[in-house]
Amino acid sequence: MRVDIDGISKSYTDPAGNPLHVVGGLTASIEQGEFVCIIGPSGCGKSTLLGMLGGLLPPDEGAIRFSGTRTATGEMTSIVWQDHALIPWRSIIDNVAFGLELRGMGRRERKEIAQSHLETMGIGAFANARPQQLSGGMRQRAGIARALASDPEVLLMDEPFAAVDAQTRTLLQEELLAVWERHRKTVVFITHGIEEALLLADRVLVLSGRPTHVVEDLRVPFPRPRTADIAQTPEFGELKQHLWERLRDATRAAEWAEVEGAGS
Amino acid sequence: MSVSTSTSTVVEYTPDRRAQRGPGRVFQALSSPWGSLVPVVVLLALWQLGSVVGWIDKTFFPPPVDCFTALVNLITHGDLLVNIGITIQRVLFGFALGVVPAVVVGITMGLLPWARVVVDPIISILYPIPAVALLPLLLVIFGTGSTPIVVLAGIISFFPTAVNSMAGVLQNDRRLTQMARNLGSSRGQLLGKVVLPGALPSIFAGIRLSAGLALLGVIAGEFLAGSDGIGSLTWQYWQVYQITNMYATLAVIAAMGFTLTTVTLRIQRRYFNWTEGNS
Ligand SMILES: Nc1ncnc2c1ncn2[C@@H]1O[C@H](COP(=O)(O)OP(=O)(O)OP(=O)(O)O)[C@@H](O)[C@H]1O
Ligand SMILES: [Mg+2]
Repeated sequence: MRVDIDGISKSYTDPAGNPLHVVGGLTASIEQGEFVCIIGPSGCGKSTLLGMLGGLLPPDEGAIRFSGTRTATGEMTSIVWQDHALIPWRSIIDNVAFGLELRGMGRRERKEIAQSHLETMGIGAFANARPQQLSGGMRQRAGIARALASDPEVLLMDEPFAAVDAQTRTLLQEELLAVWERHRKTVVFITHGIEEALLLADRVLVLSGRPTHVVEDLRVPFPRPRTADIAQTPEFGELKQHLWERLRDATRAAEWAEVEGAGS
Repeated sequence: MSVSTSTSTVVEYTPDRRAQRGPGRVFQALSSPWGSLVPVVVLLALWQLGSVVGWIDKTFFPPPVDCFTALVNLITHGDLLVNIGITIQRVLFGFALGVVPAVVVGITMGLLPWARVVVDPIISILYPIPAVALLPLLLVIFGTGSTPIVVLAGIISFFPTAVNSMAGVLQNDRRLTQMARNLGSSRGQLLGKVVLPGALPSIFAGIRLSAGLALLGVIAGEFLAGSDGIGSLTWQYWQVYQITNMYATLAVIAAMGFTLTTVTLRIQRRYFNWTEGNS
């Protein structure tokens, strides 16, 4: 599925009753099967953008369009949440099968599908465990397995590896890439990590502070399949430096806006 | 600024033998299920001793052994069992009468802001009234017999379950509802698979409180207005000064309360263990 984000805006009302303009006329296009990473200053509206892509809240203005031939059986999108959002009273396999259960798929069939996704993510042995019994990395594997099991057109990931330790994160990144090489689903992946973005993405979008819009659209030239080794190349270093400068400018501007906003 | 002359210092952390040994034998024995009876038995033994030797007034604190004999006597020769049955029946009816509507009302209030706005003030006004104060009114309405007692227990046990059911629904985890909506959940599925199961521990906590209160309501009602039932026996034995018999009925009430607490705690541990250490 191709995703066209066409000038969307979104405002919230803060507790004091003042409008908070979060997304300001953001326009971007994501090709069928493309892996796009999004980075931006803290609190700029990345999760809000993802929520709109996931159909959880409508934009105030503009439109989000999904177009192309449907290749998947599930909902248009599935979200992988930073805090995994696993249901604590369900076993891991019942969590992973949740989307299929909502669709009315029979018990045997959905368990089979869920189990195969658990195997893919390397946690097949924990099918009957409860989420609380798993480490952070394993829970996130289960979160990814759930999103994949429901077979969406577009996978939306909100800083999925932010809460795990560095070694686990590297492993999860490589596993995600391996899985993606096979499915080639369209992916929108939010991250705070520039290196993570360069390792994973076909394209990196840098967002501005609030009201957020795209300030940089960078094509990542590294061939696939990729491994973490590309981080050693000089080209990687240059791109990293470049993205860091853009992100720094955006963050500075956001902080200045904050100070001025508070001063007035 | 002072410059200290440097002396060589060694700080050493060594194993804590006491902590390694863990809790002592006696502590472990006491915290086992049967061990928890030991303090009770010791207390009864001291009471027995004090009562027999004469440290405490035998008239008000007869020896526990005498009370136990009275209990056995009442069971074998009296109508204690019949009265126990009557009381249990009232507790169950009163409990059901209070808790079933409470769950429905509480969940509805949690789900519908309109219901909350209308019903919440009413509950806030009624809740603090000691329900026992309603007994005269209930006697006027329902006459004598079991009905006013059962209704009293129902009223008392309504509130904790209603309030906890509402809170359980309101405190539903927003992340989970968003997750379910993203995966295509209908409103009914959201309710049945996410919101209500998530509210169950809170609902059950309310039900536990209500169960205890239903017992309390029945005993209080029998005290004041009953012609039968355990609470009424306690009162009657007190009036005719059969103190050992009175203690025997108190022991039965204590046993009922203990059973109720233990059983409901077991259910909670068994079915709602996911609330512990949940993240
Ligand atoms: N439901 C809401 N009501 C009011 N304000 C909100 C709401 N959700 C988010 N906000 C505010 O909107 C802004 C953007 O939030 P959002 O979570 O989209 O940012 P983010 O870029 O994902 O932040 P982070 O880097 O912390 O993940 C923040 O200032 C946040 O406080
Ligand atoms: Mg966010």
